[in-house]
Amino acid sequence: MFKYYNCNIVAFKMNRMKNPLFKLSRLHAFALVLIGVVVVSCDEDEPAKEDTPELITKVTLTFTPTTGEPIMVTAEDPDNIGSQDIVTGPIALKSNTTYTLSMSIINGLADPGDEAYDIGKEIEEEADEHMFFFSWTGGFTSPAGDGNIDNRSDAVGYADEDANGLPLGLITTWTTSSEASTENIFRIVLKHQPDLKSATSTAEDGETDIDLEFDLSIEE
Amino acid sequence: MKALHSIFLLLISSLAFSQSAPCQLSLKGKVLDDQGITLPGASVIIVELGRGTSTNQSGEFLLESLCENTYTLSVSFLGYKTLVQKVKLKKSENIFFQLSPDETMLSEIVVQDHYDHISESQTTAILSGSNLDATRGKTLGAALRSITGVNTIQSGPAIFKPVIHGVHSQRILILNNGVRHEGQQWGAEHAPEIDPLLASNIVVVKDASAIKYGTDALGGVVIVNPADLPITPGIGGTIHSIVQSNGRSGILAAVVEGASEKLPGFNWRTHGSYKRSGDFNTPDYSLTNTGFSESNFSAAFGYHKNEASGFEIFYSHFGTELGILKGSSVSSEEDLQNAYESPVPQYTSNFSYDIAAPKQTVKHDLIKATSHFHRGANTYSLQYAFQLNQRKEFDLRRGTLSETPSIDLTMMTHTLDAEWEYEPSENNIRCIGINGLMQSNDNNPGTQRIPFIPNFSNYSGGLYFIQKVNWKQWKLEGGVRTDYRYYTVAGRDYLNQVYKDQFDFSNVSATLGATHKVKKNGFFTTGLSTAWRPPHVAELYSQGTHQSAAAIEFGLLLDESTNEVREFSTVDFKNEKALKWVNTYGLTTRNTQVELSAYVNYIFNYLHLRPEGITQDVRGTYPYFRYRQTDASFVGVDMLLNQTLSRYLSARAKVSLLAATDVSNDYYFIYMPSNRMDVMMRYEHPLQGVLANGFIEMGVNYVAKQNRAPRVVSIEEIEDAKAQGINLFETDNRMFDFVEAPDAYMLAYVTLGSTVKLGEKKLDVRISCDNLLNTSYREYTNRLRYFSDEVGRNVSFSLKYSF
Repeated sequence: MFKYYNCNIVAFKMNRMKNPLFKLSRLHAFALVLIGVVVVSCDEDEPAKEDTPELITKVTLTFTPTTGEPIMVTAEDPDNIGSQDIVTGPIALKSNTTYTLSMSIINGLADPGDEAYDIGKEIEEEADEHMFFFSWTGGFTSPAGDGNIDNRSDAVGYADEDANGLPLGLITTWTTSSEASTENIFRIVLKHQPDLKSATSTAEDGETDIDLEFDLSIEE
Repeated sequence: MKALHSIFLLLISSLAFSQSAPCQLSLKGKVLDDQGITLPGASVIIVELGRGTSTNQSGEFLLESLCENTYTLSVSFLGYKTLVQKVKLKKSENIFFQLSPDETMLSEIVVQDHYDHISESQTTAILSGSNLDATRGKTLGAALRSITGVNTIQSGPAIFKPVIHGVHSQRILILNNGVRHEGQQWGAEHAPEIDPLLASNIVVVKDASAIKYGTDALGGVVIVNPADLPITPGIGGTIHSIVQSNGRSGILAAVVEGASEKLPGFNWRTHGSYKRSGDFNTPDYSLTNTGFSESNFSAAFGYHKNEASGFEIFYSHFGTELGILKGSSVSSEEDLQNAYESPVPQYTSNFSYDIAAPKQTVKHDLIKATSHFHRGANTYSLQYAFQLNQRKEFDLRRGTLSETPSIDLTMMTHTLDAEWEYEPSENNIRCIGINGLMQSNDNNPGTQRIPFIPNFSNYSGGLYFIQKVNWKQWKLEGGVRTDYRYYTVAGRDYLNQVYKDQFDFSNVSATLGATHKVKKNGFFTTGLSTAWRPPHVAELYSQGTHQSAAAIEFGLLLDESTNEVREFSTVDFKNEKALKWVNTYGLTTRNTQVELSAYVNYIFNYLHLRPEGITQDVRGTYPYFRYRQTDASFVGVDMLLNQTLSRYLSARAKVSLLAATDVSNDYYFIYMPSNRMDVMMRYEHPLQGVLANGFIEMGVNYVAKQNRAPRVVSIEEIEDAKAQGINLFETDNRMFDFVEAPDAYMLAYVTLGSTVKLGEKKLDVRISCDNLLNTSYREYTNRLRYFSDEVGRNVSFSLKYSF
């Protein structure tokens, strides 16, 4: 009997705004609460499953040399909004080689067929409000320097641009140094800069979408 | 309005209710002010009979044809506080009434009716009359700050949450118009969905006073009361307009009310207000995207057959669209550091009325029906209310997602309250009541984000008993209450997988209070009360970040290593309970009013967020916070001094001191209000002619630096430790803050005003200036202190026309 009432409530929940019986059944249940009857409950309805287009669970860097096999390195978040750290694989490149770096950015909670799955595609579509910044502590001869995270005007080999002719950074080119080295830090920052992106906007403007650090070594 | 009433009364006194034969008694009297000066034209109304008279040139009045009975007399005069007094008439009597100017706060006597929940043996503070008028145009939370011991947690210039004695959010119960206010109160940026412009008085109960109102009142209760519906036939009202320089805002509010002449006993009121503000500004820059647009409406309709019974229905709508400082939108800790180091928040642009993401839209609708009737010594009252709360929060999101709310919740609450009061004599009152609550909170689909809190239903019931006894110079009151709450919950975890649970809570709370009259003018009140609260669903299940918070929050039920949502029954949870002891000494003499309160509030199993570690996702490194329980103590003092210095000059000082401690960890909490003081001088002159009551007040508000603030762990330190593979919080999870508490500050303000008499109507004019010296400062309890200064100088001009 009690169960019946409360199940009613739940059943009406789906279209409670329209259902005139909803209030009535609530009042019934109310009376039950008032006379101190412990309400035996049916299940609460769970929230509808949402697409999560903003979540990024996996970033794959593909370093494609002018000749030879591409090198793939991933950064993967085992629990997205949870407390576990992201796992980033080390980057090992050959010395004295020019690579094209392209990135795949994936939301693993979405089905591969979904629009929400491929975030990289979305960034490409909104190139005018996104920009990648890079920094490194060694390992490259071109571009020279240490990257543009600390100083926007420093050199980075951007190989793509947005509709305004400003760099995006989904595709970049890199030439490694001739000698071997280890324990270089390679950092990638993606900034979301709606109405902020300009020829002078920096890695400190806007909101951070991606900020990853990789261990970089150069092998002979 | 009151003068108007008295004219009506004069006109209709001949038509007044006929009295039966034995009603031959009369009541003669005189109305004086506090200086002993007679007040001609003051109105004296017998509330029960709905009739009255005005005083003559000598301040005298005469009421005839009265029965042997207890009458409530309401004595009012423009510029003075309305005095409401019960008179037990056994024989014809001669009586004096002394009215005090409408300025001093605590000597005010509140009009009490059946739904007024104020008890004499509790420590309360009242905001009414000109003190309330001085706060018109502010939000409820900001208005409450003028009460000693009440502060706010702020999220920018327009979002204020009340803090009573250091305790806030779920631990403050708000009683709006007699109804337990139910909205989304779990976030720091969730202000109460109430328009204070409708209130005729706001009472803050500083005891842990759960007995009458239900669970949760661990810190105290805020009671927002509209005026009683008018009892004398006629139509009256007010039109109020306020413009302010900071934010270039405008407020227009109107109240129209009346009582039917043809259908005695029918009365009504409608109220509407519209508020619009653009970006606020600090002394140096604009606070981009802090404007808001708010519109409110209410209507009340009542029928009071006689003093013995009545019925009232009330509807109100609150709606706001509220911008949040754009520069506070950070998605990683590094952004937070950039924001903090930047002298001007990023995204700062010129003044605008635009409201864009991050923002929130909130609607709150309330319908209630109340009825009461007396039979002999018994009063029965019944109240049903339905509240619909709809909240949408919009964050800065990629692409067109900014148009999609990232939190979208609909909450529906039904409450039913029944009470039986038995008053065999004035010295013996008892009361038994029952409360029921049914609530559902649902995530509306389409946010494109895993819900921050789950869907839930809440079924609660409570039963209480209160006994009041007057004994010699003592007023004693005791109460006991039992509550039950049942939750069913369904949400989605970090993998977007469904979880479900159901569980319940029950507990007992009690209160004991006593007021002792000390000599002629003083009183001493002591109150010991317990309160408890079941946890809010947000405290159990929170998951992720919400509205511009550079921190991840995890509810108590989330597993520390796997992030999975645990079943409630498997978790060691203890209800939060408070034991609060408040002592107040008050003294009111001809020239001096003193009130001194000292309190200790010990909260067992205090549920709060504390830092647990740092985690990394693709956006960067974040500290994460988990809900934990600890024992907490709040010790403090509130002081108020009002001193009349000469006939026209008075001074007022208010001080509130607080020391909050995490007892289990012997440490401090974050965002606790620091010690503060307010000193004001007031010059008031009873002007002649059309102007009445000209006044000017000037004051300073001093807020000390919070020295009891937790350690500072800077973002750089977190990052550096992380780079070395050290988790700073693993071994030391004491509370921390990203930056040091802001410095002490002092603000000056000035207000001048007067009343223009237009026949029986009047126009109140008020000009005030806050932050007179345009001081740049930051407030510790404002969550946006990481990003921006507080608002600069604000000049406000207010016109209130009463008819």
